[in-house]
This record gives sequence, C-alpha cells and structure tokens, in this order.
Amino acid sequence: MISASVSLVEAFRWWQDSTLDWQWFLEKYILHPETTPEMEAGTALHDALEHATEGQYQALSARGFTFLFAEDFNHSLDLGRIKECLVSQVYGDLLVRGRSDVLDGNIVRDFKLRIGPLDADKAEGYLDSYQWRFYLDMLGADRFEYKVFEATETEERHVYLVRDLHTITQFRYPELHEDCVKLASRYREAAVNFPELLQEREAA
Amino acid sequence: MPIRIIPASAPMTIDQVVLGIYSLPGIGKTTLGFTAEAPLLLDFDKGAHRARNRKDTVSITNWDEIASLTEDDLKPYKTIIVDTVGRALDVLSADIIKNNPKHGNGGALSLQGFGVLKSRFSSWLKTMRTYRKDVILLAHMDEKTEGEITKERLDVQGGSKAEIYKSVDAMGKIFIEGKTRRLDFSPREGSLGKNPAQFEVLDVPDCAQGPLFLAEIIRSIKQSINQLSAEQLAQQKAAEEWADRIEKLPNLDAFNETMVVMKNEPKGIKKLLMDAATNRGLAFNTKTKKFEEGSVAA
Repeated sequence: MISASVSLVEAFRWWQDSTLDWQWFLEKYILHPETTPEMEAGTALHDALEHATEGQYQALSARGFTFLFAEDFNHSLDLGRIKECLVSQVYGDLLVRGRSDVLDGNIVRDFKLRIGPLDADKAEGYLDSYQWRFYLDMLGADRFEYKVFEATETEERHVYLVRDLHTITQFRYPELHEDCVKLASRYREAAVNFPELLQEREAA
Repeated sequence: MPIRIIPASAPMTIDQVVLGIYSLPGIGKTTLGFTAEAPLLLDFDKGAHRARNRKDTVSITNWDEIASLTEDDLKPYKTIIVDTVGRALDVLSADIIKNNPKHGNGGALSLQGFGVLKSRFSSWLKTMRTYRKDVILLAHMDEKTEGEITKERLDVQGGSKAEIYKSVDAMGKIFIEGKTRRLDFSPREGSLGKNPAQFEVLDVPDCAQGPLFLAEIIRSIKQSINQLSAEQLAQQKAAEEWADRIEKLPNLDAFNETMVVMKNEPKGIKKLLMDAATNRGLAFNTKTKKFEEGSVAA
C-alpha cells in the first residue's frame, strides 16, 4: 500500500492551492528537500521539549541549540503524559502516518518555532492546514492546539531568544473525516501518476 | 521570566466566549448580532441603523469612548458586539499613533505600533472577560485568489488578524444560499471556521422568528467547550491510572496480558505501554503481536 506522512500530504495540499509548478514541489519535498537552519532549530526545540520535565527553565537546550526565554516571557506549558505518539491510519488506498508532539486526553498539541512575529498569513496557514485535521481524526481527539514559539536569532550561533508563545486552537467538526479521505484520495491519485511521490524520505 | 513546564493541568470551564462572525457586507451580520442575549453594539462602521432589530447601540469615533466604558456602564448587557472589528482596530491604531508618534509610520502603524495594537486589543478582550461579557467580533470578508482557489479571509489590517484568530473560541461565516441566510462554523477549503460545538450548517431565521438565535448558539458553544473539558479531565485521569498500572507490571507476561486488556483503549494509552516496554528492554514483535525480551529483528 502507498503511504505518505501527514507533512507531505499537507505540503501537497498547500502546493495544489498555489501557483507553483510540479517540478518545484518535487524538488522541494521529494528530490532535494533542504533542511534550513530554522528547521534544524525547530527540531532541536521539539527535542528539548520532549525531554523537559516539570519545572522552571530560563533556557532549554538540545542538539547544539539553546533557547533562552526573554525577561517578559510569561507562559506555562503543559506537556501532557503522552509525547511523540506515532500514529497511522488507512484512508482508502493510502496509509497516512505521523507523529504527534503531545496527546493530552482529547487535546493534541503541536510545537512550532517561528523566527519573527506570528503574522496573519502564518496564522491562516495553521488554520487552513490539514495537519490538525489528520491528527484529530487519527487520534480520535477533539481539540488541536498549535503552540507557536516566537523567537529571534541572537548574535551567538544556534542561540535563540524566545519572546512569546502563541496558541492557535482548532476543533473537530462534522465533516473532518470526509475531508481527510478526500485529500488522501487526491494525493493517492497523484502518487499513482507520479511515482516520484513514493520516494519520500523519513524524517530524522 | 522562565518558561514553566507544568504537570497535566485540570481543564477549565468557561463562562464567556469570544465569537467571530464574518461575511460579505450587507449579508446581515449586525442583525444577527442583535439576536444575542442583552446586546450592546459598539458601532464603529456607522451601519447599525440598517439592522431591522436594532437594540442598544453606541456610535464610536475614537478609542477614548471605548476606554471610558466602565463595568457599571456595561452592567445591563451580557454581550458586547464589535461592529466591525476591522474598523475598531483602525480606530485603536489611530489612538496609538496619536499617543506616541513613534508608533506611526506615514499614517500606518510601525512594527512597534503593531505590537502595542496587539497587546491593547487582547487586553481589552480580557477586560470584557473579567466583566463577564460575551464578545462578538463582526468582520467584513475579504476574498483573495491564490492559484486555483479563492480564499475568504477577514477584512482586517494584517498584523492584528493573528490576534483575532487566537482570541476567538468559535468563528463562523454567514452566506446566502438561494433565499436563505446560512451560518457555517466549519472550516472549508478556502474559508475559515472554528466549530467547537460541531454545528452542521445552520439556517439563520428571520430576526422576528428567531429573536434569540445567536444567544442559543453561544449557549451551545459554551456547553460544548465545557463538555470537552469534562471529557478531557476523564481522559487525563484514565491516562494517569494506566500509567500507574503499567509502572507496576512485574514481567514480560504481564506486559503481554496488559496488551490484550488494553486492546480497545485509545492509541495514546497504548503508547504508554510501548514506551514502558522499551524502557524495560522489551521489544514488540509486529508479527506475533507480542512483546519479547531484547530487540526484535525488523
């Protein structure tokens, strides 16, 4: 059976809505996916949060990155008990797989690192995304929270100053599952016609 | 201040909500707003006179008029309607620039000014919550075409839109289908929505037939969010109980017996067992569907 990660299926949806051509999509997501410094930092923040235990932290570190919290940063974070939950589900003829950051009862939480302020386009991007739809559907949860860490780079390499934490919430809605099925079907159709899509690399 | 990592927190029940409603102009947002419970409309757009069911309304031309509203002034009201939130933020922006020219840049807000706008707007919403008022943010709809689809967005100045998306507990769009006005809270391809009450698309009754239509909607949204919180609490407790039980499992056989017992539990609970097994040096054999000592060849 053809399988794809939630991230790739969501990237495919985003690309379909854009004016970018197919070659661009293949280069960016399949053939030569680049890991930008921002993505590396995001992975490091995930790692730091995954291993953080209860307490107060002026800074968190992982994978050679350090995240300092600004003086006026004033947020609590409930990490829940179930972290990095691998999940997969078959939609028609496509196996969709993913890994949720936190599953806390009926809430799924996902951490994002944003270099610079959370602007309207980015916030709308989160609301439009099928990432939250697939995770709610696959995990049978009802509420999804994007936890967006707003940070700036410091003069020191791999050291970021975290200034704010934004929460953008979404909820299960009646047609959620059908919407996931429809997108999975669109993706599968594309994968049959363009086998390059089957070359997705597993995330580190 | 440091970040505080806290243990699973008890979900809170809510008494007030912030509701976002958007549509093309002239579809009936203001009329719908007046079907909320004991409403006061803050009329930034100067269009309240067009509503057929007009109730108490304050025409607003500058932010001082908002800032001067006291808890006592608002006592008779249960719902505050901001009509429209886009225009309200324009008025707030003007106030910010008037108070500190550094926050302006050619009549628009500077980056610093946007920061002030976000903080003052969210602090005003918090004040309304402390006054125990529901808030309805009405917004005109903006359409922008990107590639194959037309995206329906709030017609609100850029930087502050993210604050609205963060603030609203529920968000719906009014549109006309045939001769019927309809209200849709679900997110769709190209349009925004937040639907905690899992409403189907609703027909909006004429205000004479449904004078408290939005009051009922808000009541259902609160009930649904509080119901989700109750379920959240139950699921958190179940996870805690399973975690305790798993921690006490004495040996491999106990892990395999537990695997069978938790067959119908949610995926997250099964993850607790998998993690505990890994920590004890057990591996799950996907062929036999059983745990084994040591690693299992792929």
